[in-house]
Amino acid sequence: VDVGTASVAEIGAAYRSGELSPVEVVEHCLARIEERDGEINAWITVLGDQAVAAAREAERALAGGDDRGPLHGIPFALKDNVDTATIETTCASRILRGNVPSEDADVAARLREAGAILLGKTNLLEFAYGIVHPDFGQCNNPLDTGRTSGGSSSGSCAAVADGMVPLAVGTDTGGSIRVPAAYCGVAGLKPTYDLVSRRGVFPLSWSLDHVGPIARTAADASLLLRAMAGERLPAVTAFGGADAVRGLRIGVVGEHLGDDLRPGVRSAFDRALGDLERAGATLAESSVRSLAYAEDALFPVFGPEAVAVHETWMRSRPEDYAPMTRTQLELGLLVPATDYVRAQRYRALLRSEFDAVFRDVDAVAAPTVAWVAPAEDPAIAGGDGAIEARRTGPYNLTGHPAVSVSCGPAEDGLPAGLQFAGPRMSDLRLLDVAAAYEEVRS
Amino acid sequence: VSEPAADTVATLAAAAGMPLSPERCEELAPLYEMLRHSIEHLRSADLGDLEPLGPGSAPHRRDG
Repeated sequence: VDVGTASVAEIGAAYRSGELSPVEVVEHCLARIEERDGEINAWITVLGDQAVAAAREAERALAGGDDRGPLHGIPFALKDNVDTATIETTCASRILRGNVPSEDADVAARLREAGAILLGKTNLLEFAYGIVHPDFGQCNNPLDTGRTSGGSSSGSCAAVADGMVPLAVGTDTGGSIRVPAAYCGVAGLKPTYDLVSRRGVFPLSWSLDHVGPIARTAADASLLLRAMAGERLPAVTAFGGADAVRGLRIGVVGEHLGDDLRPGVRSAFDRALGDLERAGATLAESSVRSLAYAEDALFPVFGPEAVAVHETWMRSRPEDYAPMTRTQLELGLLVPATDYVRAQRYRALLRSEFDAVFRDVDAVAAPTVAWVAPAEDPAIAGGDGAIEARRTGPYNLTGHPAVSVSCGPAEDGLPAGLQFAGPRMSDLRLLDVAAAYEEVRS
Repeated sequence: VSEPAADTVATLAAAAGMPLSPERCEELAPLYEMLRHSIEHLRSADLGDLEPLGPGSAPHRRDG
């Protein structure tokens, strides 16, 4: 079993057959981090001895017949805006340096209960708000270290892509799981709104924030989601392999195919649609007319909500933010209350149009981002930032689940993201579809 | 940077309870112009009688 590429199920099977032990896997991950993270910068905190000790405990438990399920003994990472008891949680900001929570976030506690081993906390854009803080630096893309891994869940996606850890948790307010997943060639799900508890996760925008799984494959992401969401998930479905695509009705939303798509990304998307058709899916043209306003509605929601979160520090410590984080926060002051409400009303319109589409198709597919990984992350408050989130942000507005899996290669030998979105609470089904695509990808 | 945009930034920030220095207002003015165009586009959307529901609730239109 190659720990750097094996699935969680394969690692788990190797634990139970005695071929591998949790200690060996954790030590492999720590060695990989030691070897590679100087170049990538995916981690803010690495829990060396603590993780090895937890691995020993998992090893003893498994040997003693105390088997907690598929994540028992599997290492995972948490984005560093997720609270961890006694472990610093910085949000990649100078403002929270030295912040040591007294309690685990719900999602951290759930994963520990499932027997997973916390390996450390990963880098992100400051407060998940779209820009790198110079104290923490950019997380570089493992596929091309001259480029960004994307944001804001940059470290979580890069660490998984580079084989430093098999599973990671991210957060997504406008695309912050799916964009870096696309850039790094991994699978990342923004679940249905509130499917995964946000308690103990530092907020960016309460009504848009989602906590979700990141993994090398959609099948692994599905295992992680089940542990993260627990009883909030509907009855568990079995993974159907490539069969999950047969007979599936997939809508291709015309508004997601604009001229902003880079040619290589469009070609990769068209090849992916061809793969899905050959595997038995039926494609249909779909339209969501109000998508024309989606990127206009995103900032009027999260801008003011972010100000409400940060107001005290904006007054007392403005210089401690990265300059563009401060600028973006201050822009949130400039959205009139009537336009915040207008944007919230627009969300109802957009959601009802997608709900109508999902009465005709099982899922919709689109490229996740218009381009492959750029050198640096574009600021949210600018033209490129809006384009980057154009195909991901709408699902934060509506609360529908959306997963990005790797397709391509698209341009410069780098992958693009293929995004599937579906009805609320269809998360496991979407991950099945994404996993089936990974099997039939040409 | 147009003077009126910086003035509007100053007015809106003060109205939000967080007055900004004239220099900050000048710096924010170009981005505010982009935001203003975007919000004006959103204002042109026909929202009918939709209520501002959160994403966890079912869509709803009032009857009659």
